[in-house]
Amino acid sequence: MNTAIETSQWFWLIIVSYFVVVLGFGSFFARFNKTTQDFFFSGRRFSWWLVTMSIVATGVGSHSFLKYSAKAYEHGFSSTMTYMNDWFFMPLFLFGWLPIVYYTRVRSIPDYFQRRFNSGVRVLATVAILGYMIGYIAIGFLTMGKTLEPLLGWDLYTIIFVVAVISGIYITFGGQTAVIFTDLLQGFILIFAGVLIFILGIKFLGGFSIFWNALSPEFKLPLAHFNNPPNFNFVGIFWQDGVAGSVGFLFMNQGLIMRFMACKSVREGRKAAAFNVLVLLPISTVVVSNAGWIGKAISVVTPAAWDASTKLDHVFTQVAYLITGSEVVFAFVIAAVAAALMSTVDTLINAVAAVVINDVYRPIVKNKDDKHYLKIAMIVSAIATAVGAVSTIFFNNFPTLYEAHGFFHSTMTPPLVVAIFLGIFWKRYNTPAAIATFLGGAILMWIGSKYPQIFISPFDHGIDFIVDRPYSYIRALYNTLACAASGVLVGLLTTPATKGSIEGLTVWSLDKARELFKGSKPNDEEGKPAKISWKVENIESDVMRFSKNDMTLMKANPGDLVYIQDCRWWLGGLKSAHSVFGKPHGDDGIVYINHSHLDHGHFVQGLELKAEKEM
Amino acid sequence: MDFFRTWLPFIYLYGVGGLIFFIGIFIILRSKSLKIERPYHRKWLFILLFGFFYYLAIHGLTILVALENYLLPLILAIGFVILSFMGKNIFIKTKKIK
Repeated sequence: MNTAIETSQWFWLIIVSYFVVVLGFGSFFARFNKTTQDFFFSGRRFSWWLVTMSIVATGVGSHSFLKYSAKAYEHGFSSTMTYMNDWFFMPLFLFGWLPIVYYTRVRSIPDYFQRRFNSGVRVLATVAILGYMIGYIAIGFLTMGKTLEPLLGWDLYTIIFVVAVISGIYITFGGQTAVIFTDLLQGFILIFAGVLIFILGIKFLGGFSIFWNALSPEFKLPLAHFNNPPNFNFVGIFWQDGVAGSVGFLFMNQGLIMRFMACKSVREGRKAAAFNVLVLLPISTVVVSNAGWIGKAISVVTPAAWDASTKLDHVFTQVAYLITGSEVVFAFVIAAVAAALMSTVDTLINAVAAVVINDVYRPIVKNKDDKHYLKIAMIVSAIATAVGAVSTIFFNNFPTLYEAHGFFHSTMTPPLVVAIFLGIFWKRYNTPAAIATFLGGAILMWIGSKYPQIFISPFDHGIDFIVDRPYSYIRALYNTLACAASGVLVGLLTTPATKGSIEGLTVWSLDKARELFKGSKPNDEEGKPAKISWKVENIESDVMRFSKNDMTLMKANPGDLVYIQDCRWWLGGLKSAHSVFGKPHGDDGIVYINHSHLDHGHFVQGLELKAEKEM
Repeated sequence: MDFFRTWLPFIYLYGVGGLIFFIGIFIILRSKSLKIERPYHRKWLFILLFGFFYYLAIHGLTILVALENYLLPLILAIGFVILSFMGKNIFIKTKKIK
């Protein structure tokens, strides 16, 4: 076996141990999946902190460590640009898209398109979203293969096969709950590993001031040059990664949407999203980039220690190998990268299964029991894993991972993002306009790619035209405008949808969406949570009965929605159940639940519960 | 280093990004998706505005630091923290607006 970096059995023992722990997690949490609702959305039960930590592992997933370390080494602190743009879209996400998908209980993004438009638009959205996610899975597997290639010396596709089998097993049997808990663990691991690299790197260099002074002022600027060079400039990356990529990730990433829908309420979803962008993304950007900065400083301070022929995609592995000084620590860091890569892939595999079951299989095979759909979901997860692994052959043809990934952002994202945006915020946007966005947009994008000097150059912001890869990033601006123009033009020239047909599906009728979610007028009086003991009563109806005083404390009325969870906060809602307030009784501090609530909530005899009114 | 390397990206980012952000704020207020009369929603309006200026401060201050200007970023950072606390008091602790 000819490998670039020598490793012993200790290294591989740690890597294998890590994967055993991950598999163990998946298997353990599989028992919480009773229905397809649990498998895909974890039964709407989790607290914000658990979801936000698991989002870190998904966001800082596939390709991030390698891609950003390479860019950081080459271009400096401006490698952080793409992680620092998301806040611009938060008003529209937190008070637009998130409550709409949550309250309308859409099972997938194409499901939203069916309700907002018709089944034809749903088909277009399904094709687009499946293509996007399968491609993303493939890039994840490819990155994993390229990370381990210099360590193993195996054939790239053998590594991809092994990784695909491992990922496939735990996602297939674990479902969304397994994904959330493995991602929670992996989120902590990868942040710790990234910070560890930074600390060890500074130590290796001899202190922070040596690191800081080794880097030029230009290297330390947080934003790249406005329009130069063509392969890394601010304005191109702003439109491609910052706008198309960020919006794509927030609004059309089925995996992320499912994660937010696993929150116990919209409020928790908002907290998870805000905390993630305000606190965890700035940390994450340092975590994924700092190996490149450390590598550059090492190449300046101790040039003898740095192999000048290191390929850009190998900067991360090279730096980790140099600074860790111990095979155990090095193995831990590589395991963290594996964690990051697998976390993105597992989320997407689960999301593909959700789309296939809800948008393809269920409309064809109707009226089966939920166990049947759950079984099919598991089979689809396995197939999605296999298709993703096979698709790596196509993506391996791109010169770099960065370009393969850029291909998605600039081509797959604009039609869906524009259709989602206009669908949510523009009441006049109708079915013909949505079809025009997909089909007209696709035609205009194709024309743009054929004749970039005619169609894209008016938007180039002064970026030089490169014959081999013309306008690699700024084409995202042209593509987005092309899709938007097609949709807006047709929207203006055709009859708008009737008010009743889009109620609850746009930001202009969110109150209606909440009413539909609850089944009656929401009760927005702010109450307090109640701590209670529980008893099971033999009733079929889905109600929980509290005492009058406890309901007064929660400001709840019969018919309002209630959420109860195990009192131990650190479970993050794993043991919990949703229901409706029934008629009150006289026993203060006691809630009567039925067998179904107990089965779903896994409550422990003798342990108190915390109850709160939802709406 | 010229303007294209230092401040133009910053101005473009918060000019175009700011436009997107404030259009978003306008839409959610206009559609009553965010109801300013509710204390819970007022808190969120503060968080949204805070987040925008927080990122603006991070980018602006790190550009100054990269250009080896250390005193001004320190003063501005302290000013930002004070303003944030004042803003929080205005938005969150105000009694319910009728």
